[in-house]
Amino acid sequence: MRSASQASDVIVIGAGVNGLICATLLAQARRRVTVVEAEAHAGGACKTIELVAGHRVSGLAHLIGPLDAQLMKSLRLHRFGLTLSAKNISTIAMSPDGRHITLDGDLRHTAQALAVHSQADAKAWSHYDGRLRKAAQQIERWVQGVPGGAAEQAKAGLFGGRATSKNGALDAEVASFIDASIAEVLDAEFETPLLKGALAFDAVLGSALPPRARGTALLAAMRRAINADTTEGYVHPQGGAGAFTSALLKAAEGAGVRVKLNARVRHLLFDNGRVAGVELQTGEAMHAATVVSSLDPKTTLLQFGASRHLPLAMKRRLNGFRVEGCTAKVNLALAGLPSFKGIDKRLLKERLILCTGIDQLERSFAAYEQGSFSPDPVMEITIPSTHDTTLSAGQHVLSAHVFYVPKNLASGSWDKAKANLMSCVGGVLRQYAPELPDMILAADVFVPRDIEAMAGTVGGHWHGGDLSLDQLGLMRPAVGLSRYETPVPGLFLCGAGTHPAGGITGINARNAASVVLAAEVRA
Amino acid sequence: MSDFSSRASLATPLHARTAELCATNHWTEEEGFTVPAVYSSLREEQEALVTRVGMSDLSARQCWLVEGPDAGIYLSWLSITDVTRLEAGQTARTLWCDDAGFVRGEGVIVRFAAASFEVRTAVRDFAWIADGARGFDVKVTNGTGTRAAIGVRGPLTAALAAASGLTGDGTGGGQSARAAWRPAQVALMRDASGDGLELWTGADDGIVVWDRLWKAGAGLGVAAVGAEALEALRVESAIARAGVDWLPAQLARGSSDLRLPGDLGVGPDLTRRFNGVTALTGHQQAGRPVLVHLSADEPIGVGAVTVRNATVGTITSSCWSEGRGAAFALGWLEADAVKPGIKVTALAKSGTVQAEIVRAVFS
Repeated sequence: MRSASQASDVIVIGAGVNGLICATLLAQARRRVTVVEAEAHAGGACKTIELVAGHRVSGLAHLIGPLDAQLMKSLRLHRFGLTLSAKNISTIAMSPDGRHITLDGDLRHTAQALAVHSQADAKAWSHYDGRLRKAAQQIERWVQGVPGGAAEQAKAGLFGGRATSKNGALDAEVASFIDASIAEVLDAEFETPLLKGALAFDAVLGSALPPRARGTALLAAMRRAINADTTEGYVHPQGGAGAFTSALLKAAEGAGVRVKLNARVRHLLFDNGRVAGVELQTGEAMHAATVVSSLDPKTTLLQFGASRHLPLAMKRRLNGFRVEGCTAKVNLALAGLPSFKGIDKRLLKERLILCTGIDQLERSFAAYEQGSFSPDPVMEITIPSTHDTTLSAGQHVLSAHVFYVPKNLASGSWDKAKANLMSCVGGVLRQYAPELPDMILAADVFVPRDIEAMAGTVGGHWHGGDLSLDQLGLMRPAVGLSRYETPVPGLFLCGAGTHPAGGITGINARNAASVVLAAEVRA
Repeated sequence: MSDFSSRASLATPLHARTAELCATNHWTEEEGFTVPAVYSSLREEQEALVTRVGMSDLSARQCWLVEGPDAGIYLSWLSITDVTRLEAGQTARTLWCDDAGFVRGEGVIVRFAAASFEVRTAVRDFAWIADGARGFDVKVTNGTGTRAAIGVRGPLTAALAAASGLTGDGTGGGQSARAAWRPAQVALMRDASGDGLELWTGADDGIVVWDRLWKAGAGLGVAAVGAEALEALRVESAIARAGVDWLPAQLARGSSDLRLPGDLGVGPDLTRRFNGVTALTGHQQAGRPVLVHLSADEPIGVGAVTVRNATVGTITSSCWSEGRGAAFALGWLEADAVKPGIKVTALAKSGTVQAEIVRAVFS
């Protein structure tokens, strides 16, 4: 597919995680690759920003992974400067009364932690973990692989024949599990509200779905399935999320990728219905037979001129892809390390879930549905400065994902409401660490509208589009676009808007790269 | 066309006149608009269409305006016809496909000016054309109900046009002239049969145009013709109707309802890029059902068609022609069963009737 007159075989739009990984894999396959990035720095949603002088923090995404071990091996990021300040980060379900539950993936440890709350839950844990593991095993190939197309769905069901047990079909018990709501599953297994709250929170995090919505148990199984081939779990790079991007950038360049910053795409170029490159805002035309976009599908296909080449029904379906964000990011610079009730400071390096139960999640969702946010929001926090001293010399930074925050408010503007949201977040934090709000030196609040601008993704959705069964697999971002290919020959997608959605996993990019190479063979 | 129901229907811009003329007070509903089913008697109206000239209210037709620099490019992507080649004032009868290459609609595209087109169709599907315009520099407006459309049909059509002063090039085939027919602006085009005329004007001018034609036609024996007589003439003339003889893809109840352009006698240029062309290229054309015109000595019912007790197809519409004293029908038959002159068995009011295959409609 190479053309002697072209400087690149492939142009990748966007130097975020997926863009850089895809570019690197294609370069490793001996393609001449150029990445064009609109901003002055690579990273997209994965950057480290300065909150206030002396305090740096991951701007949006604050944990990386779970990354596929094979993918990590091929990227060789450690050779390009990646150092992890923490890995295999555990989750702690935080209780305002200090009776926290640590969920570290070890069955015995978790059962012991649960026994403090409920002997019955301690006994039930292994059963629940087994059900989740079984479901994850059976959908792993579907989660990790290239989804099937519509024809495969018609022939082999929603999962295109990719979700199977050893017997070759999806187990009835698993089918029933993934069809249920996570609340329904947890209510049947456990009695401790704190445990159920944390597990439900993890399932629906980033999705505009309440825990009692049907199909949310699938999301829990998906997370587990993504975790399947990782050896390091959730990790924190030394220097924050931006350090990960920095290593990716070096790996890409090391593989021969040319990265062009401050190069915003104005529109795609076409030649007789086939993509032929991109034109930048500067007017510069860059030609390549293949263009892979890590931007969201709506921007790529509806705003860069490709919509003229899309089948009409597909364009309609893509219009209906739900991309409005529902998560806010709060970054705090702290004068010191706050004390959390009932927890050893050494455990503050873990991932802390502040959600007392499913009811609190439901209340937060109810407020979200009304175009507002809960006065008592649920959140996930990390305090990366506890293990990464490069972020804040002698002091600390806290990073929070605050859940069920609408992009647009039913009344009022975000300019004024951000202070209120910050006050609510402070109120919740005070329940767990009474002195914390008084230690705040500076705060950033990024609502979905800000995330839209910062990450360059329409809607500002954490996962590049809502996570639900009707927006995954062959339906992500729309039927006919699920295999990273588009109806425009030579144009591909590799961003979070593709299967299996967001999270810093690299699966989208890995799959897209394989599809690009396979398409070249077909051509 | 459907039976008149009690739900709210819209009045066409010609309603004041059609109501005056509708002696039977027998109405029907077409695409949400109330139009006369029969004005005086079906027999008289059929006779007028065959021997003199008839006028009818066609204002229920959908009318979509597409304007802007990309109007021609967009409509050439939407439909199977490259309408950028039309000159201002020209029309193209065309159809459009869904993404899978099956026919979704049919109609006429009129080019008014370089960046101004109008789509006229009997199929209600405005959202399809409006949503599909995203990414093109066009404005799509639903003008349905803002136009009055008058059909003129019968052997004295040309005489009526001449008598009323409508003798411009608009009466020529394939042309849509804008006649400065003071005080009204009128656009003329040939109808689907090729024998009649359609006059399109603004809603406010509809009555003026109707009255002028009516007055000019007095000496020619003009008659107001309702939906039932038009429908009978359509079937007699073997003109397929969307929603009756074939279902637009979005309304199909199963794959057997889906129609390819070739099924409707249209062979698009598959080297040109338009919506659905990729899928269309992959469809098998051989062995597809064939639309046939049938006739019989007694009324033919809609339903299954058999040959030696084996079902070979379906009748989709039928009529009784008073003028010719025969029944006519349209129906889809298996390709192997289509042999002009042979008899098939169709349903009748009581029992069955032997109908003869006159011809394949799109042979």
